[in-house]
Amino acid sequence: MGDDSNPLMMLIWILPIILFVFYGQRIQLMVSSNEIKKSIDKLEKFRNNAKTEFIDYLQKSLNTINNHEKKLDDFFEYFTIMPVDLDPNGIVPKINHLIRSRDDFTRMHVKSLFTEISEFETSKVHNLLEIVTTLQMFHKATRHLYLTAKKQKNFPLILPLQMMIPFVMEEAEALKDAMSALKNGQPIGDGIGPMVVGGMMLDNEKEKISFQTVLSKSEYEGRKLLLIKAEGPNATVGRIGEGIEKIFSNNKPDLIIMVDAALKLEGENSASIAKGFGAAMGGIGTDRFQIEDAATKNNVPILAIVIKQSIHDALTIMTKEIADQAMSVRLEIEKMIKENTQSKQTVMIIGVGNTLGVSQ
Amino acid sequence: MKDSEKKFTVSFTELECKSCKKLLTRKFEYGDIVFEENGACDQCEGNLLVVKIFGETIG
Repeated sequence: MGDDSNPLMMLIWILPIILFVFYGQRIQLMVSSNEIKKSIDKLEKFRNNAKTEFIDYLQKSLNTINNHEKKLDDFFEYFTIMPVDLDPNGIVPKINHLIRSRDDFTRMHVKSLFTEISEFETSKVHNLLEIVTTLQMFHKATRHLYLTAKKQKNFPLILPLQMMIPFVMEEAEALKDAMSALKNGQPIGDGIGPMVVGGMMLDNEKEKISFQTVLSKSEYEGRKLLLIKAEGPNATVGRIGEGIEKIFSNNKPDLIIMVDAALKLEGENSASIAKGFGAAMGGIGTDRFQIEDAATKNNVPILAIVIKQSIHDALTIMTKEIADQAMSVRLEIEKMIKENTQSKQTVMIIGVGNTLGVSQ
Repeated sequence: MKDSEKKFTVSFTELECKSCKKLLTRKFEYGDIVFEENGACDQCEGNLLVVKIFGETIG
């Protein structure tokens, strides 16, 4: 009881309170920023390692021109300015044009780095370049927010970064680990859609319907099947939207089924299959817009089958669990066709995703 | 890096004989591509088709 009136004890209690009242935010800023700094250092390491690994791969496996390192350094710094969206009407064709031009430009410049290079290798180098550029962008953006918060001693500014950084790190680790599958030309988790549709295309004739996109016609229990996927084994997602617009101009299907990989929610099992409605397709959204537009104008329903997986599983070599689901997905597609269409009707089946290492 | 974080992935290729449907799994070799023929079956000499390429994480 005597302790209550002891001036020393009172000081021990009051001092931290005063300290936290006046300096609480700064202490929190120091603790949070230390954690963030560690992550930023890790991001820098990822970027540097990815860059070195990429340049080593080019030098050891391909016929590079003399000053390729200087050219590559310029590439790593390239940026994309999205179109003005103050008036969103007609913005999708503008984004589409921008993305396509960027792709064509990068592909052309990738080819210019080598004395000789195949389409397959070009697509791999293009994807590897995207990985290094994305890691560079992650590092720059997080470092900018961190340094700004520190410079201005602005604790609220560090909070969004603290919330975002685990997601950024998860994606960065997945990108770093994706390098190996890309260099070896191995299928990635995202390639399950093209793998299922590619399997259905086997022994049928294929035709190119748009850039790096193939169509194959087949039959199933009296129904006509239009099978579409990116052209494998290139590391590409193709231009599915453009291809579908072309098909709709001559051939109106009665049902569209889209097969894609989807990010699983925490707690869900990797490689689990889910079915639903609507266009299953990630990316910037221009291809999905074209598919939805064609389906809406022609009143065609769209069904979706997705194979759930984490971002790490989606970007790295396909796991056994995901690969083993290919047959189950095919059976689901057949069930969907039988339940939702009649004999003599036409069904369009689209395998969405990066078809690296998966032919047809 | 902690020992518990040291993980590595081994890649495998699964092939199926187009004639006798026998399945064979071996380590991945550079140049293996899903749905492309790769070698002959040791039982019936039919063409082997790569049906899966996958990775298994150890550690």
